[in-house]
Amino acid sequence: MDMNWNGTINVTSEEDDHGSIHSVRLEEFLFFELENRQILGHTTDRVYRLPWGSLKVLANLISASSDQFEKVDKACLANVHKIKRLDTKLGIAHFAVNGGREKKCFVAESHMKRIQSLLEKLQRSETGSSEEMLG
Amino acid sequence: MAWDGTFSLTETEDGSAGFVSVPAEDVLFFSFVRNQVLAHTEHMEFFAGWDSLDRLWKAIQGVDSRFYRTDRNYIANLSKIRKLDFEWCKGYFEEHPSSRSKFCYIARVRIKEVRKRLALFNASDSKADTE
Repeated sequence: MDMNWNGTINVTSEEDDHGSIHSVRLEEFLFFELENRQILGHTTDRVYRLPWGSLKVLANLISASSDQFEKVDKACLANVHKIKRLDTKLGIAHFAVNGGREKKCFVAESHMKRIQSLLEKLQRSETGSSEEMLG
Repeated sequence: MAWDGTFSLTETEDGSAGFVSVPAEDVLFFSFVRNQVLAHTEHMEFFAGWDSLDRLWKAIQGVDSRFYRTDRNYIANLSKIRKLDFEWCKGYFEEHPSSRSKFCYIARVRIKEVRKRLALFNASDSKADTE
């Protein structure tokens, strides 16, 4: 049996098909939040519910499989590659906008500096790689 | 965003082993044990994460007809069942099971339905073989 991970995770959608199973690529998620003992995964245009009920277990799963997500709050894991703007004053991370609906999540003060430096590092590597492409 | 036919599972309860994608055809059954949903393949057991079998059953019942809720604590892949034990209400995944063979329980009230569904699977398999 092939023991690889294909990059997708199982989720359910309560919005339009009463909890049927879907497969969504992990990198498509902007952030995961714990709400009423349920983990909700936000993509640019949808909200899915995950099978997992513990954010700690999900954080372990994700950190073993991907380096895109960071804990930004006690109830939130964010895809740092998808953060478009960080409001350090209000402690809010803003994500890509789709169809006029802006998505955002809270960033705890204790995580702010780490997230800020991670974003700066990402920005530098992106600028570096685009300069390399131009060069 | 349809289902790609795999279950995203993990080998450790705390998730530290990361995700593993297991094709649905490799899963023999799901069981609910010690507040955990476990996925059983021929040689392994994985943590599936679902908080209840009810939710997993709701998620897959309209999507993959091979799976059936055989008992309160079991969802079985009927296409993998090779032998039914009517006396003890068990489904085995081998034709000649031993005492160490994997099995799922089947509620007595559902065993006739399971037999009916297995017959349908076998009929469609033999039809496919002859075609």
